[in-house]
Amino acid sequence: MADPAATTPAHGAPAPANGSVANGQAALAGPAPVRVLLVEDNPGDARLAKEYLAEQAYGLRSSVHWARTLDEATGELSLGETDIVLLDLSLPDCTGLATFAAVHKAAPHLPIIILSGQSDGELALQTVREGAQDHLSKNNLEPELISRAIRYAIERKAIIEQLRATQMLLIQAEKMESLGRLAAGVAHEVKNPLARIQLGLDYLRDGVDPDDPNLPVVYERIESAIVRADAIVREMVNFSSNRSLAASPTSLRQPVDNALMLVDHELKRRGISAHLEIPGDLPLLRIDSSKIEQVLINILLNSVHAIDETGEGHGRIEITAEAGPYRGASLETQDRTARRLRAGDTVVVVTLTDSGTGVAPDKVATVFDPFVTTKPTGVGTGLGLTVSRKIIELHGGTLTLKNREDGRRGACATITLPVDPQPDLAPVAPTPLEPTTPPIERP
Amino acid sequence: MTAPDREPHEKHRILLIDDEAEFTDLLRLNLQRTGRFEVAVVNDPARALHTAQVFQPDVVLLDIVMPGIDGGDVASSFRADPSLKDTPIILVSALVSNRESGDEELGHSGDKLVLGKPVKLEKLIKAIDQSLAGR
Repeated sequence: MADPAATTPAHGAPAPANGSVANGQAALAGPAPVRVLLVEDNPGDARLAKEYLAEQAYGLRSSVHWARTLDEATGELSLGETDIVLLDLSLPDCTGLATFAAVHKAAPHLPIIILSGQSDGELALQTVREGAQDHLSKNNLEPELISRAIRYAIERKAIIEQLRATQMLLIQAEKMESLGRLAAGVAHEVKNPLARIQLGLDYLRDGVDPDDPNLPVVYERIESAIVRADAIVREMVNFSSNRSLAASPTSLRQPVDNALMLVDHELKRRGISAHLEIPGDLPLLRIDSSKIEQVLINILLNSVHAIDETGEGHGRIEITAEAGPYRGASLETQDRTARRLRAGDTVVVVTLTDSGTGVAPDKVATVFDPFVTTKPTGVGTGLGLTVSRKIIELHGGTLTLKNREDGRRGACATITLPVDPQPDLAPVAPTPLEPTTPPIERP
Repeated sequence: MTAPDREPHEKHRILLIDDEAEFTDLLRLNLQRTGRFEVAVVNDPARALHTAQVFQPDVVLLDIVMPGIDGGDVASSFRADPSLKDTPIILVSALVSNRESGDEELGHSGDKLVLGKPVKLEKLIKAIDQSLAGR
């Protein structure tokens, strides 16, 4: 599993959710009770819920911890001793969607069931779209209903977590495949600085004349070669590291520069030039830099391949970025994920445009489908764009690919990322500081 | 003999063609220090042919992977030039695997010697001497 935290017993499928659900019979002696955190400021509602749960309807044994405020709830969640949250959205210290967002953020792997009053039914629905498992009307609570909702919520959440872990494995597997394709080029990029170090050493070997005017140059060349080799190897290690999605405010330049460093050799040996047009005042993006880098490398390698196919050499790739209001999903992407972006949201639109062969008209509709590839056997798995789109979706954004619309031959990939995304399904953890890499000189 | 006539004790002319100036800087300093070579450097492969026509090197050290024009294109342009067609070319590239360049032995690609980066100066000079002797 990609994320070890996802497997702690607190939110793995607890024993009572398994097996016995179908007939409603639970072995009384066996499984530990489900640990319910009831977040409810009204003592009467809380008492009723507790009594219903005490009836062990649907064979559900539970232990209930009662929190009256958001503050108490997040404190309890931080102990990691909860299996499921029953949440009233109107609390003394927080109300509405913000209550859900705060609890979800405090325990992203826990199932949450919203307890809604008469007036906030629509709000409860909205929390389900944002990741709550279910919502129950407090006015219609019954022992059977609440117990069944808890069982199914735990099961559903466990399945979602499993799916998520599988997605992360797929993303990682695809990344390793990209790395394999880049390895020879990266080795070449490291051998060049090694060659400089060797020649520097050869120069110094026969004794150093302190008056030799060339000495500073020799020392500087050796040192810059070490810095360069270190930057490349470090970036390779960073890129290959198997981390779960961890977003933090990041400049778009970081993944762009890192991606270009790893594909530099692939571009250079084909005479392909890369041109960047990324404004310096672009807002920071809440992204997982290494995952976005993976997407960029994927698109860049596709472009390299498409430029190869033209047989003309001297290709060109342009990378632009621009911040602005979201203008809605384009027609090609009638994709359910586009709903996360709303018209007017501030987004950064990144485009990668190449001078390759473009996308064949009959392939435009299927390029994001798994195992669709136009590359020869052994060159691509056909998962690159599938995984890339998934990564962008996990960031609350969209990825589209189409042919250029400026009359020239070639393809244009567009990544749209929200500047201030809604609370995401993804667990959010601080990203360790990435080492900075020296800027690359583009031809 | 394609190089212009010269005194026997005159230095041999070596042309370095590699887009990495950091590499050619160090190689030039090393070769010059032996006192045996006169060295010219080209970092922009598009200018390689013209420089070679003027400089008339005895041996060319040529990188393979360069932006725009690769080493193969440069070598072809030399072979098509009457004044350079017999000039020995040594390929020096990080692309070369051990099997191609050998560990101690010098490798060959067609009529060209091949050295893999990183290369020791001693081995490089041995390759230059071998090329000079074979002209």
